[in-house]
Amino acid sequence: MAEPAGERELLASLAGGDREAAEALVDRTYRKVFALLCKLSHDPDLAADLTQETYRRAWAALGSFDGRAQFSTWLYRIATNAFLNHVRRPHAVVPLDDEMGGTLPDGGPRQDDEAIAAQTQERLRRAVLGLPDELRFTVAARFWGETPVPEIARAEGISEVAVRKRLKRAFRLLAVTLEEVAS
Amino acid sequence: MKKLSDKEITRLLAQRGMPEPPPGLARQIKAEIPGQLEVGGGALEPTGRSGAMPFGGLRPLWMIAASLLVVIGAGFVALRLLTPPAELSREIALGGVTRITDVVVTVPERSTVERQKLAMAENRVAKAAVQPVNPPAVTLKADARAASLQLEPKAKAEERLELGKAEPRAADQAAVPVGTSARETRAEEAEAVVSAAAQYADERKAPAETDKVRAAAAPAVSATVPIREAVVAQDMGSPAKGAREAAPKVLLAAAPARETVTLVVRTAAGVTVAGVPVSLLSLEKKDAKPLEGITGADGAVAFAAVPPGRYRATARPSGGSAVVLEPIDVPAGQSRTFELRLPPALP
Repeated sequence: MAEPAGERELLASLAGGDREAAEALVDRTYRKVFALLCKLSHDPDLAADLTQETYRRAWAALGSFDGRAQFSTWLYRIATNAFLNHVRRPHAVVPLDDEMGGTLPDGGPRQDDEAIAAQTQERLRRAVLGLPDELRFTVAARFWGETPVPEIARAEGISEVAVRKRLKRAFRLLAVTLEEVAS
Repeated sequence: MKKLSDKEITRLLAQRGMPEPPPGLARQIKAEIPGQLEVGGGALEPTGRSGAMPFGGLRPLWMIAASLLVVIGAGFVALRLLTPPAELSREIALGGVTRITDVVVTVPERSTVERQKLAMAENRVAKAAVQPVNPPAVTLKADARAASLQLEPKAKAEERLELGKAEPRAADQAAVPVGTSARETRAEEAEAVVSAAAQYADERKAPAETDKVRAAAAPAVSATVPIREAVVAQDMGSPAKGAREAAPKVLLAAAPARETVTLVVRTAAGVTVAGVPVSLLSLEKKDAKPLEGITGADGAVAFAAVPPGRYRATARPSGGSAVVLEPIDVPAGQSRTFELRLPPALP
């Protein structure tokens, strides 16, 4: 994770017209953004496209970045919204099968444990996507973007306690959802 | 699948294994960086929690302080509203508190004798209001039209007018009971009666008589003062009693003069007697009708506006012999009071 001070320096340089500062910000953040989008979409190609879309939106909305949270957290919110906009389009196709797992190199069947784990991950992903917006972003940023709770609190403009309450509530909903899906 | 615990969900969410981004993704992103970027002012400010959230740490304290101020202010206002005024507080401090819960007003009851007397007086007043004792030519009523309809018979008026007796019978007498709803005669009512009489004289084509009618009735019209005041002022027999207690019947005589004759009926012991019919008859005018009335609670009857002359006063107590007092001289410009003493009761 980039140090906040370094991020501030890069943003200051970016404001002065330094293009290299923008590229440095991309280098610091694009892997996490891609990882988050992969978790959300479970589709590496779609995640790559949405990562590019996320940065396009970020450059356009850079003037509204108020600096409350880190630049990467701000990008997570943009990435989540970009993904939701994509899946809400009528033509959008969200992979429902396990594209990430694929098959073993020898073409044989997966081991049972791996299959079960992959299936569980997919159910979990779908359950996360089914959460309310504020819970979905909180869970995605916290676990798939590896963002600390205080940072999420600053990005959302709420207290850390409120973030933890969101997570607790999200866990409860996820548990119920996964249980219903399994049954 | 059993219900997952928070810890298990946390573990599942934290599992890694994401593939690396495709090669060239960073280059593609960098290639799309616009030439001119506008960075928000807030992003360039110093970092830190206090910088990211101005007054964020102080906000709860400000909220608590504001709440305390509101509570204190509300308490002060409530105290001001519930505290009695300074004067009342001083009175309470000096004299204690006296709480008045019930107020009972006791009205002394009239004695049985008083009630009987009052009922008798009211009955007499009501009876007199319905049946004037002395058939007047015109009775003053609240309605002037009703008064004009009670003109004496035309034959008599014609006869009097032809004989040149300019006695304005149309407005010469009126009985107005005191204590009834028509307690006050009004000037316009009297004028209506006079006008009716004058109109009748005009119909008889006697202008001179018309003038006489108006001239004769003028004092009566001008004498239409509130009856209650007149009774109180002229009731010489019982000046200390109130108008309602006295309740005498006042006969207004629309005569040229305004003399008032008050007759008081007393027993031999000097006690006033109520409910005694009395009359006042002129000894000079043979055809004059007697003025009649019944003594009130104070034993008096006041005849207002009696023409000057010589009269006979008669009292006829029920169950007793009549008492006559004559002659009674009523000089012009003077009001007189006469007593009629009943004889002592026989054993």
